[in-house]
Amino acid sequence: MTGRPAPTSAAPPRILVTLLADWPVIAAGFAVDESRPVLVLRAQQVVAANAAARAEGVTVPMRRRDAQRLTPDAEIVTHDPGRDARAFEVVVAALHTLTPRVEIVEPGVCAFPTRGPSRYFGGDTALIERVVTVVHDAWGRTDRPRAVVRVGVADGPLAARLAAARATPDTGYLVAPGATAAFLAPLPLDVLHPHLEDPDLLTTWRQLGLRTLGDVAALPAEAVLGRFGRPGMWLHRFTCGLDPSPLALTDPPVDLRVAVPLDPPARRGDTVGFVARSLAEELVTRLTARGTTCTQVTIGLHSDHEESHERTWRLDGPTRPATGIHGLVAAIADRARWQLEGWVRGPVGTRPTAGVVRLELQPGDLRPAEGRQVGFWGGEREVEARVVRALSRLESLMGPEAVRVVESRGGRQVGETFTTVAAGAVGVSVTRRVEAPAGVPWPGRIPAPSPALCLDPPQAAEVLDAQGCMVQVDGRGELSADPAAVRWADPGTGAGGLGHRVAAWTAPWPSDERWWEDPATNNGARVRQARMQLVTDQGVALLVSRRDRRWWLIGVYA
Amino acid sequence: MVVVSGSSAPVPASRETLGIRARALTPALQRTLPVGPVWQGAFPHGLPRGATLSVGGPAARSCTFSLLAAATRAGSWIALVGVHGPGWEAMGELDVALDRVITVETSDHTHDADGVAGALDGFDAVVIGVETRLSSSEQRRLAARARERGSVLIGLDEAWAGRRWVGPDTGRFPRGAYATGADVTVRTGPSTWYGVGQGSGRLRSRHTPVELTGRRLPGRHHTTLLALPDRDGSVHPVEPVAPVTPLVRP
Repeated sequence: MTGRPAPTSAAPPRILVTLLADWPVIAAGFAVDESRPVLVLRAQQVVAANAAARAEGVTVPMRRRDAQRLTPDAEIVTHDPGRDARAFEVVVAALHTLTPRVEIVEPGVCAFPTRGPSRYFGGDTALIERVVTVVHDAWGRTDRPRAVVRVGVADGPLAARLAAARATPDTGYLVAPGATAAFLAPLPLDVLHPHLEDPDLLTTWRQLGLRTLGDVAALPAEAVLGRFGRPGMWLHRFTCGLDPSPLALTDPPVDLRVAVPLDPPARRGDTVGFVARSLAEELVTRLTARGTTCTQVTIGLHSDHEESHERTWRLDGPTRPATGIHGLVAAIADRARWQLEGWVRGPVGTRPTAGVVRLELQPGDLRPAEGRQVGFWGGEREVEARVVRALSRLESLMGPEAVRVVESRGGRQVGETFTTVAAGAVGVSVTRRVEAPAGVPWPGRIPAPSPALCLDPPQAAEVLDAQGCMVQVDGRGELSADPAAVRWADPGTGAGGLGHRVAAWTAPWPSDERWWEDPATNNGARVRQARMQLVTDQGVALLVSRRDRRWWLIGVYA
Repeated sequence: MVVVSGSSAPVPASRETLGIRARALTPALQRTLPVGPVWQGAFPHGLPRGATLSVGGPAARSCTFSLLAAATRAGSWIALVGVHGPGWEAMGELDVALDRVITVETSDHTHDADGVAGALDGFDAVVIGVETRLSSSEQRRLAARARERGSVLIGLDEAWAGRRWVGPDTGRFPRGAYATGADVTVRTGPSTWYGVGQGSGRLRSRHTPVELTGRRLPGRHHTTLLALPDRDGSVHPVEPVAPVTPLVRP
């Protein structure tokens, strides 16, 4: 495939992860010690919350309505990944002074290998202190909200990230070389949940009785590979302290780098984003032609005055919006745009003095392109992502209660077998089965065919006999006369209007629901009605009901 | 223009072409939505994506649901916008997969056009009921958007005014969206119901004459008599015993 050596069983390289927690909240302008709860939302989901919100019980991720129930007075902010990335550029630029190999995992989290810097600064502990100082010097201006830095050093990027999450604020957590497996052993399985694209395996393991990462490491490797396949193998190697997905420290073969000149020089983010999109498509096409994909890309911007700005971005993980080739291209294009905006709006001394004339993309951390990304399952997930996005847009336009999905309920009256619920209350991306419960008797139910139009609330109508008098239904369910005409109010004038001759009719079917309820005491929960099907002389079939001494049109067989 | 910097041997042509050939294709079949066997006479390859249909007449709803049933079973999502009182049991009987249906209620009509546009972006088929208020220019723009997005747009032309059904197509009340100007027009004529007598029986089956016209139709004109549904709940063409009488013209 490429010239890289296959991963060996040697310990993975030591990585330092810098973690600024709740970055979307900080980028939106709220300090970490803000007393009001703040929620950052993307499409009815909470993607970040500050400490005050989490103290009330908000977790990430969580549905918007659940979070608002817990914190009704929370400040709501819309998620803007561009804003997060631009703000984070300050921190990344500061870390770039320590080492050029900084990789941006996502806004708020970045990582670099410690081998060189650690030797230069005299040990891991000194390096951690230096990182904290550098970040606070760069970010800690009075006009910027206060942030808290946590640093983690361990063997491998994910272990380092977990270590950083456990560090006390403004310090680091150092896992000694070789002690990563011991550090991971007591952690529960759930710590991995937000870091995996497909956490179903964790659910399976939990159901099988595994509780901690140490339990996973204790399983024999061949058994895990045989039973759980490649994802299981990945996690097993991780818990044993071997790194299954190393940071790309070696340069990929040169022929995968793509570049494009920009003429005239570009100063705006969207121009660069547009060019980056077509360049990214070219890059991804070349990668796919080799059967590989990349999870990391280095974007290089070069200005007309020989200034250059290079950043390495991580492409997998929760910030990537959709799977598939289009998701990858869109992710690269977005990052190129954020990078230019961050460069142009950065500290005055580092801003470019001329427009960008050259854009370079270099893929890193090449992986074999698996069938998941493109094709059968990827196709289905893309469809559902599209539907979910359209639903959230519809909800914001028409109101959340106006967008509804069908749920089966069961009932004997027309329109009761199914009901609609707000789409936001149901996860549409979860496979649901909506079917009338089969084999369940509902005595008194009108058999198929059912009316295609169910009037709810029912429309007042009149069923008249040949003399023009109202047809009545007696206590035994018999008609007082043959129906000759049916009429319902003209909605335009409100007066009695359109009438149709009745050509055929059924006998009334009485139904008496909740007959045990006493109407005097219980608001009339008892429903006595007689339903009848009518066919007009124009071939239209109607379903009418006699209830409370009146006729109602409840269904039309449209 | 893309410049590949660096010098090295180019990828052998056979591997590149293999990569290109192994990519997923979108054959012409994927540019249509599947339809059930009863509609394959009129739409031999399926409902063309991006087409605008207008379905009217007394059996318009059942026709629309029957048209879209096969697509929902194949996994497509459909949206009903401004369709008042959809009969879910009837849809289930016509084999529509109810877990793929979203209904959007329109009460305040200021955002109807935006709502339909948003629905077109995400859904494979959007049915517009009479409760949606669209001006003719909005209808044209939405038809263009449907064509661009590859979604099927169906205007349900029922005789409605407000939230009340006013009866068979009497022509006196506001028409539904796309009553004119659709790619394919489906008109159902007066049906014949079987099973109900003079105070006895129950509705069992219906025969409905259906007429399809349109530029996007092979042959441009198609008339059939459908059992919608038959006694066993299926929908299929009926062998006409007598010549089909001319239908109400749109």
